[in-house]
Amino acid sequence: MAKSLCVLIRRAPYGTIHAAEALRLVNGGLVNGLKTVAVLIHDGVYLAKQGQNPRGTGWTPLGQALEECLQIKARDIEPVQVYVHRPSLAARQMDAQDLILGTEVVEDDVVAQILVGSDSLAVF
Amino acid sequence: MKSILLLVSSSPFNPNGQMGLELARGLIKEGQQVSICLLQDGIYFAVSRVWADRGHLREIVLNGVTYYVLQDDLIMRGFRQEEVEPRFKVINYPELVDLMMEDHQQVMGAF
Amino acid sequence: MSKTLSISLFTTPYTFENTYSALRLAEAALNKGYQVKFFAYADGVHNFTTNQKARGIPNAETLFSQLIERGLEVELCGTCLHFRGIGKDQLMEGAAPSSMRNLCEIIKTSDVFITLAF
Repeated sequence: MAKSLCVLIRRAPYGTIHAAEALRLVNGGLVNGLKTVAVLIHDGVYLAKQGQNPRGTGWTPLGQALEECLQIKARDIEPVQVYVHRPSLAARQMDAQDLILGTEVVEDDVVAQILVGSDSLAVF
Repeated sequence: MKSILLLVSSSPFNPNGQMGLELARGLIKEGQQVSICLLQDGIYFAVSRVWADRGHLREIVLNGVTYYVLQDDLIMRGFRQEEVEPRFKVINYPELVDLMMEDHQQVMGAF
Repeated sequence: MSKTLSISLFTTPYTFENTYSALRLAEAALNKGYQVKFFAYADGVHNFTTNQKARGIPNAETLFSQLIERGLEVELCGTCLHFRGIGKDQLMEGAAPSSMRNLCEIIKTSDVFITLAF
């Protein structure tokens, strides 16, 4: 069975490089045979916010990069799952309607289950 | 049930350190056996005075966790073993390696 | 075969304590006969350049070189080196450019994998 990787993203996009590098690892894991999931928590939930537009800044649009990641479809690649921590969203006055389609809002218990169920964890 | 070691390197007064403790709480609720080892600025959580008057940190203090704190990082920051909350076991790097490589099924961190 | 500890290092050597913690952890693990691998990611690649003159803070080049001689394996994210304009000729001996594919191999084959970011 394929080994699994959980990428935990705890920082907002653009403020630091963490979210961008984390997404790169999510993509890398997917195409290199790791069953990969991403968990967005604390300020990391902002990575899933709809409508990010860094046009003209030189930054890769990370919302779009996340959408593309969710759409990777190829033989032998299991689709990525992107989980967004609901209490972190709520603390930021956001809800599922603010988010990029295809992400899944989850509670504490699901986050814990994902962590336990993953062979490896990368914390960004 | 899995035995899980979380490494917490951020201060408990900082959101990253708090996240490590929140995740530990979630893992315990899921029935896992959890240990926490504090290192770097994480060690401030083990200081008795902080522990006794932890204010908003109170709800993330966990029962049922085995706590460790890295001696080298305590000493560097000016705390003696007597100043450490007794429920923390003070360990050195070789002991941390044993915890990571032999004593737990999963290691998570650092937070 | 001995177990493998792998550490992904994300931070620069002279802003964060991660370098020192990682070095001490690697040293203790090597002393116990474990295999230890580093993968430097993002700014972590700055740990493995030559001609570092740091004083008053543990010198990453000196300490990593000693551990590499003792069997520490070091791989650096090639894209991250390229981003930062760091050429192969600026890297310490034993620290080689690597790839995302190799990072994933490390993740798959390690007994313990941790990330040191901030």
